[in-house]
Amino acid sequence: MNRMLGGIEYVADYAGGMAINACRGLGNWSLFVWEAMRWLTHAPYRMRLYFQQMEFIGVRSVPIIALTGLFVGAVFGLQTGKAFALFNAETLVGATIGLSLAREIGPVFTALMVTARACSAMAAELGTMRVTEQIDALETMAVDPIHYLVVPRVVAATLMTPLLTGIFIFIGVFGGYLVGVQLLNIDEGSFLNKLYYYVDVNDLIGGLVKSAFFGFAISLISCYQGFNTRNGAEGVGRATTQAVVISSVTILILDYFLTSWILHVFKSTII
Amino acid sequence: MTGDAIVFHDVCKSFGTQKVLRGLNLTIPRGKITVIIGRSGGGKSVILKHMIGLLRPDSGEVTVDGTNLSTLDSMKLREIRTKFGMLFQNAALFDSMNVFDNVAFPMVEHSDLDKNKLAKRVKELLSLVGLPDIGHKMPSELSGGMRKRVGLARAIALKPEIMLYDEPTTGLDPIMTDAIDNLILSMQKELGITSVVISHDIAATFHVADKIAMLSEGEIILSGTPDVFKKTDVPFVRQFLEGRSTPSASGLNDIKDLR
Repeated sequence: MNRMLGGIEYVADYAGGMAINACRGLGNWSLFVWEAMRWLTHAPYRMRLYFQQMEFIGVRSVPIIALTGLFVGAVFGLQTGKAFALFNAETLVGATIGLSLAREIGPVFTALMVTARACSAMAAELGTMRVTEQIDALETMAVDPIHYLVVPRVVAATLMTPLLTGIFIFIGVFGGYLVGVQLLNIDEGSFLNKLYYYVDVNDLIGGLVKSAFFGFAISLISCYQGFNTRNGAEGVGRATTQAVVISSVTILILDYFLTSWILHVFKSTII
Repeated sequence: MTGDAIVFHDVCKSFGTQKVLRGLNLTIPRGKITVIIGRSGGGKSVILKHMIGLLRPDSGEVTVDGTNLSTLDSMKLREIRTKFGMLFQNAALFDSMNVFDNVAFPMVEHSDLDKNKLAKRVKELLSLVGLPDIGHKMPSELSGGMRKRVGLARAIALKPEIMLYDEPTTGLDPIMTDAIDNLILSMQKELGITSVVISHDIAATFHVADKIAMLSEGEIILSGTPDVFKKTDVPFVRQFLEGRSTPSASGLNDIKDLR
């Protein structure tokens, strides 16, 4: 009987501890987001920091976005080209690539690439600053670290992710064109014609809006992870891993909810 | 203003299960140099971080110029912090900036000096800590002692009312140690800066201190003028000041007996 009670006590203790930790985590996260939003509109605006982050997150991501975009579009062209040939619908390859890139593949892949390249670096950099007391030093010099470090990163990611998505979509469609038209000999005229006809401006806008939300979410998550790093080098490693994992999962989950909202708001004229 | 610049009243602080401060009472007199001594890992840095609001007490209160820090929000706390300069144990220089930008940082943020004046002031500060020509170097290229001196230049850039030094001379050669001690003294004499120094260097402690406080087991076990410390017969304080690893002289005999 006593052993059973002990067991129940252990389980209750464990579950209670988990619940308290979850609440604490959620509370800390909410406070962090609240502080970031509060400082967003607060002077001084350190423009140099904004441009530095835009360069790091945006400009320096262009090569990898272009490369992945090209090959994602190309493989899409190859798969759909082969599959659609089975029922003589090759002319729809261009439209299929265009629509799926603009609505889903572009925003999601770009956000994942930005997570891998820029957000991991954010978490590691802020984490290192935390464990070497550089964030504390900022505070002692009466500079709010969220204002100085987090706000420029979040703003830059929110602005740059849609731009990168645009590049990804454009180059992806080009990759699909190369494979579809040049390699699989689909008629160029009907490939482009169907692309123009089926892909609506609203599809593109919806995709870009979605990617802005992605950029906002993943940069906040990564900064939060870096900001709350503990325990030296090991902690920095853990924070970086957490930032990448949580950001990636968030992108995929958020994607569903954003899509259901965007399909409602930015109605395409065709589908 | 006279009186006490900083007052700790019954401050407790724990990290997880580890109790670091257990009802600590301490006053830091204005315009004087207070040295806090105690064993490594005893919570001296934790005391310093409470003074500037980097840490908040679990219970008890810390007041600076009569303002209880626990009651302030982040904006108000920021105003209080402009009175402080703090030198961290490992200097905490921004490793993404070179030495010049590090030292210039507080002035860029809080003053409207133009470029020329800023450059002049940075040069002045770097000369003051004996490193006039390293503005272009990155912190990773500097030795620990040099980093600490750059950190000191950055901390005093805005002429703070209260300076907090976390082991300012650890890792420096004897000549530099003396130079830094004299710098701490002259800032207090000429500018009337209130200083709090954490130190392991007993000779330097007696050289600079107006007041000494000894921390042990999360409490201040003795505080007073250097004379009080010289005359004290509290066993642990004596042991610490004399640098013995055993509690009393007879401890030495115990070891001899074992042989």
